[in-house]
Amino acid sequence: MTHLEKFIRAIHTILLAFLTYGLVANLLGKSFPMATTQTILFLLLLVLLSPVRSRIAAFIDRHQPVFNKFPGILTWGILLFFYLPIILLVINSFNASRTSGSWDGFTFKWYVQLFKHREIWYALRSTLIVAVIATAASTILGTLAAIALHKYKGYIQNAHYCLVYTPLIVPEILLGIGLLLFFVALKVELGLTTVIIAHITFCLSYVTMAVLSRLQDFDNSIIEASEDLGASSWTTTWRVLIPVIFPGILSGALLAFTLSLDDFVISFFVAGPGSTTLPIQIYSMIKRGSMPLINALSTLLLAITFIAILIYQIVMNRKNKT
Amino acid sequence: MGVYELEDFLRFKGISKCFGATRAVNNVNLSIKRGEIFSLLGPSGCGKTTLLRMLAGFETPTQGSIILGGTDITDVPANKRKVNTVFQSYALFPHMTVRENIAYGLTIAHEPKELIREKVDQMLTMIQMQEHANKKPSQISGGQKQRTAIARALVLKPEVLLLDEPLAALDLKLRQKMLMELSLIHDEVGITFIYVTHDQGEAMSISDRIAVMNNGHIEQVGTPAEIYEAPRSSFVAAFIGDTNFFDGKISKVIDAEYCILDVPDLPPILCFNDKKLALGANVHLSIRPEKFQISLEKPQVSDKYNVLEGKVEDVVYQGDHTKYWVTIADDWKIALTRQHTRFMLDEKPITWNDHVFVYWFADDGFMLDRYSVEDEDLLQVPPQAVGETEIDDAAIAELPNATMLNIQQEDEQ
Repeated sequence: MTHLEKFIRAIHTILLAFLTYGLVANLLGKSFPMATTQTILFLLLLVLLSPVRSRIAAFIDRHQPVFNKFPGILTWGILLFFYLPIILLVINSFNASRTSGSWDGFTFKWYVQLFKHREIWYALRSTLIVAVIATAASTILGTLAAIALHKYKGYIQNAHYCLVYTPLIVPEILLGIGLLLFFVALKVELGLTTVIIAHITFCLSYVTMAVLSRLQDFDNSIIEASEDLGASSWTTTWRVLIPVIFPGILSGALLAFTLSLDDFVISFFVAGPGSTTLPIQIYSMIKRGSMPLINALSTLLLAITFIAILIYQIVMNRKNKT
Repeated sequence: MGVYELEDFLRFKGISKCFGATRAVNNVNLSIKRGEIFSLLGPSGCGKTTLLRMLAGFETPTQGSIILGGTDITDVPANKRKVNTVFQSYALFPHMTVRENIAYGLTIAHEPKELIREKVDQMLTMIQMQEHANKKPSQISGGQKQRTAIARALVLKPEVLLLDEPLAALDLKLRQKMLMELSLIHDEVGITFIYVTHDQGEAMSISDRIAVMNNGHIEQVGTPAEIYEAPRSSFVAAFIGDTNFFDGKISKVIDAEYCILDVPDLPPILCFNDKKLALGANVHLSIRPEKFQISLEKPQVSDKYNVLEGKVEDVVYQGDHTKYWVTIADDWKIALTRQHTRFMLDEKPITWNDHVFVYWFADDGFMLDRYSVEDEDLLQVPPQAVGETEIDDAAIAELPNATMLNIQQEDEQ
């Protein structure tokens, strides 16, 4: 082993030590200047190392097997970065301790408490009612809007397109305030109805866009073919147009359902007494400090989502095989 | 079905269609016979597809009326017409199987299930697609899609089948095969086919009659042979096949049949005067390349032949025939083809810069009614002679061979 290699190895060790130290220090809550100093030092080291980069390359060449694993390590690192918080959340939902820092043994008590917690179930019910109605309404209206936008061209449709597109780019908080002002001005009592109307407003845009993108690569001659074969425009719509764009409608509906389910900002503005949705309920529970209950609830939601995706995959696989 | 004149089965009366300021179809009058294969032929943008779409009911004529089997169908919506279309893109329903596609028209007409099954099976047999009946359009080939589209239109027993460039998306071999199949299907069902195409070869081989369209109007209607041999305008002459134009004045009327044509820079041309033109009339003569003969020696021919002398500008050998471009009197170029009916290697070949005699029988030329200079652009021009192109040294250096040469030289050093 040459001197140079020893030197490089030493520098690597130092770098690794610094990195580790920096990570640990930051995690333990070191101050901002400390973190900055570390970063600058780290960058300086990198700059100092640059003259020997070709040597490093040679070193990497010689130790291919180790470095070949790097992409794999990176992938796992990123996955860990994304899913570690969720894993921690799941583990903590079974933690007997109230605080997430210490492990006091395995327990189901938070789940038991959760099932007894009437407000959560009430909120869940409200959320589902809102989501189902908003999804149904926005899917129908959005599909019709998309068909109109696709079929007709002109000033009115251009304006229509802008109106549909706006909720996608306007900050949610503006939409929330706007809707609140609107309901107050019309003296509509805030409640489940206002939440549903608000959800339809923004879900509509997503559904329209999803269906419209499907319509864009739609071959219009099949509509003509259908009419040519004797179908009325009503029959054509039901037997040709809707089935062909159905994947777009379905993805729009799923998108609407998901968005409605976890919308917080807009719901927060337009919800009245007795129309608390799940995200708002969770928010207020965090404020009151009932973290373990939320952990349990989140774990349940996670499990439901996971199972749903699993079933979907199995069904799709089976469908593809036949 | 009522009784009507064969000629009057389908009629376009003064049909015009405007899209904004552009007139896609301009005052078209056309009569189509029952049971014939009628082609609408023309370059893209000539209005042939618009005419077809008006017949199918997808467009409403700005002016005029369409009469099918004695009834005016101008204002009848597409879904009520006994006319079915085969689309260029096939337009099969992607979510239905081949069987469901073919059955579509019958299903929505609420025909009894048994009858639908029977009719669809018949169609599947006709197009030889029985084993593909339960496949989706995405799982079958272009030719199979084409056949499905035809069957889907034919199962409804339309009075007219419209085919909008049905073979455009297929490759050459398959196109010829489908053309044969189409004409077999026509023999079997015996209904009127209206075939839109820009390919003169397709139109010539399949049609009973052809309408050549240009700029929204019809240039000429006739059988393929009539269109080819007796084109009325320079457009038809140049669009269908290849030809040579001679413009001149009649300088002498010999008898009831022949006249002498004076073309600038050329010797007097003997011309068959079928139009009975008088002295001094302007004449546009079209002579097809295969009507010429070419030889190295002065030909011994009757006085009803024209003989011109010239120099061979270009030769393109194509196996069964050779194409020659001969320059006459410095700036007249004649394109001609020579069919090799005899074993060719035994004779002295005619080649570049040869002094040749070009001759043709006076009756083989055809006088055009209308002529426009732009149509000459449609004619095939000879490829530029090799001697005339400047050789680009830089381009040669980039050739792989040249590079290899350089490497060899380096090796030698």
